[in-house]
Amino acid sequence: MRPVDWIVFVLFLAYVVWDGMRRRDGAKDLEGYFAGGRSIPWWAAGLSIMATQASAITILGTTGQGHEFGMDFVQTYFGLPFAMVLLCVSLVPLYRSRAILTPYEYLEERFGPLTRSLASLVFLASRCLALGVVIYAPSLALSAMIGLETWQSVLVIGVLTTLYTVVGGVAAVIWTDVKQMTVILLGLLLILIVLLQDLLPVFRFGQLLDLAGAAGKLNAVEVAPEHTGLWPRTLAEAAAGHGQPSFWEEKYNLWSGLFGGLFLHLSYFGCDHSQAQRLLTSKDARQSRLSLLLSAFAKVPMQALVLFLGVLLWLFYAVHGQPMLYKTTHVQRAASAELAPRIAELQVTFDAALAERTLQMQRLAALPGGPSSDPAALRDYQRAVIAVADLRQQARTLVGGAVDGDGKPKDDPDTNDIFCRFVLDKMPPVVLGLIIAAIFAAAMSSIDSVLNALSSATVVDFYRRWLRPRCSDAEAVRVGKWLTLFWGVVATTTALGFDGVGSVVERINQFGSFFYGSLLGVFVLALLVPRAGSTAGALGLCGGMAAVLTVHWTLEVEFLWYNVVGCLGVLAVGGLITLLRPRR
Amino acid sequence: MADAPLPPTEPPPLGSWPRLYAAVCAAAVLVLWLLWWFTQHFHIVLVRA
Repeated sequence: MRPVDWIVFVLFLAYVVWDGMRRRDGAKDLEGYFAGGRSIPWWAAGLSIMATQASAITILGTTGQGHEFGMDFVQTYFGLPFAMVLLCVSLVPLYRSRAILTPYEYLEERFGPLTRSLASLVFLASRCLALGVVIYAPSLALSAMIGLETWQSVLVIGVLTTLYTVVGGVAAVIWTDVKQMTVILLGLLLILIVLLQDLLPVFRFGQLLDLAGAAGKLNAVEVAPEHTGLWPRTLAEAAAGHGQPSFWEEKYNLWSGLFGGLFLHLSYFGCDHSQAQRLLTSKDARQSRLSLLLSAFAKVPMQALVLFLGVLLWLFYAVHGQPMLYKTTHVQRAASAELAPRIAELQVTFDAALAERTLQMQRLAALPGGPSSDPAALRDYQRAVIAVADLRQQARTLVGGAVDGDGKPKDDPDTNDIFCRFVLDKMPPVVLGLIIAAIFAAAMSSIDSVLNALSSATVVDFYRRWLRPRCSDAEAVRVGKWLTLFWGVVATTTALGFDGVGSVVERINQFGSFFYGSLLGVFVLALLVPRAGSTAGALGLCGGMAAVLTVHWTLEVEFLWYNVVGCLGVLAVGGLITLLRPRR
Repeated sequence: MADAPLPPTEPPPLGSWPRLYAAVCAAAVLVLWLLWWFTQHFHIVLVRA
């Protein structure tokens, strides 16, 4: 980074910390610290909801996904708009008609204290685990960009975010999120402009779409599943290569996105306190609803655009030639005396494959009738695309140092590093500083929300519920600040202990999917089964999580479906207990 | 003494919540349709030999 980029970057970080800390005046009582005095306007709460979900994941992981696998990941979000509408109708009026500070307080009213504490505990455990990844993954990529060690990046992100969140509470979280989201959108727009400015003089926009589409990158909607069998294979069968893959093994298609995604987002935005907290910070139910509907309108197009940026990035490298290895640690290992000769051999083959791909790309682009008009040219182009991808995988496997269960070397993906490499190599001064600031902003905007939510759930659902029921607001806020600090330290320490994550986006959603369905299930049970009591609530929640774990350990089923399994598991166990309970 | 009247609730955009929800769902369906059309028009499955 040049000095001017450092100046932009440091100024932005300083501004965010200052902006967060100046909110301390409004954070003197519990409602102020954990609910923003119930005075946050809907658009700010809505942008904060988007910023919290965006994370650095949106910039690093999603563009990397677009580059490597195309646009199929967008399908995960197809259920989101419908989830938002359902939440506006069901949970928002429920929350806003009560003076609650966490959604789990409602569960106590409905099922008693045990279910509330269990649900809150599930939230704390799942979010705490995920938070480590949210700090670690961008730190890993950013450290390579700005020349810091990974632990130094973890500390910068962890310490600064904890600092302003401790002092300013949820109002600091939301108002810094608004600025962070603005910088994120600005950064993405700048990259879109830079990429199009570079590519459009070489190919027309239609040709670019043809070339990306022929390389299998424009797979935004897959309606017909590749596998139609409805009976899932066991893990043992799948490992032995027996049986046919089932419908449930496909990671992304329209149906998993609409139904699995619907359950995931219902739970994430309605029952996960790090998001549901926003619904409690605005003035009334109207404002809460509007804040949700902002995401409902904007999220799918935004996610499609970010993935498309990844596809443009792939086209950029296809046109100009690409490095075989993107990750800094890979490049360093490739230079070692042990690996250098083999990497040099591979590089020669890779360069030839790149040249072949460029040749086939030009041949395909020159076809007046589009790629499908010449099947031979299309086949040659696709072979060239696959050859480059396979050689990259071989190189990553060689230098990655990762091994599978049998001790054999396995692929060490660099999905999160592709975007960083591009930004570092191609962005002009000032813009580079701004984009790195945007990535930091994205990381911080997700972490701050979770920190405040973890602290709020600990104070409200445990400290004030079980330990000190009569404590004053001032004491609760004081404890809340210490707990924010505690969770900040836990998350930062967890992140320091991480080593090697694949695609961040997937990892976060996978973490969430273990718990989210069950969390949603207990709220659905409360709403749909009026007769369900405390035993049904608590055992239903445990039953849902047991169902997810059983499926995870025995069947070959993709993680989005875990949300459906968890929710149905709660309803089945809770419903059965209710049925068996004698009527009074 | 009579209760103080409730403050008037500001109507949602488009005049009513059902209308707004219908608009959100219609917009979502439109976006899905556009993405589907985009896929149909440009995407070609990558075939490994």
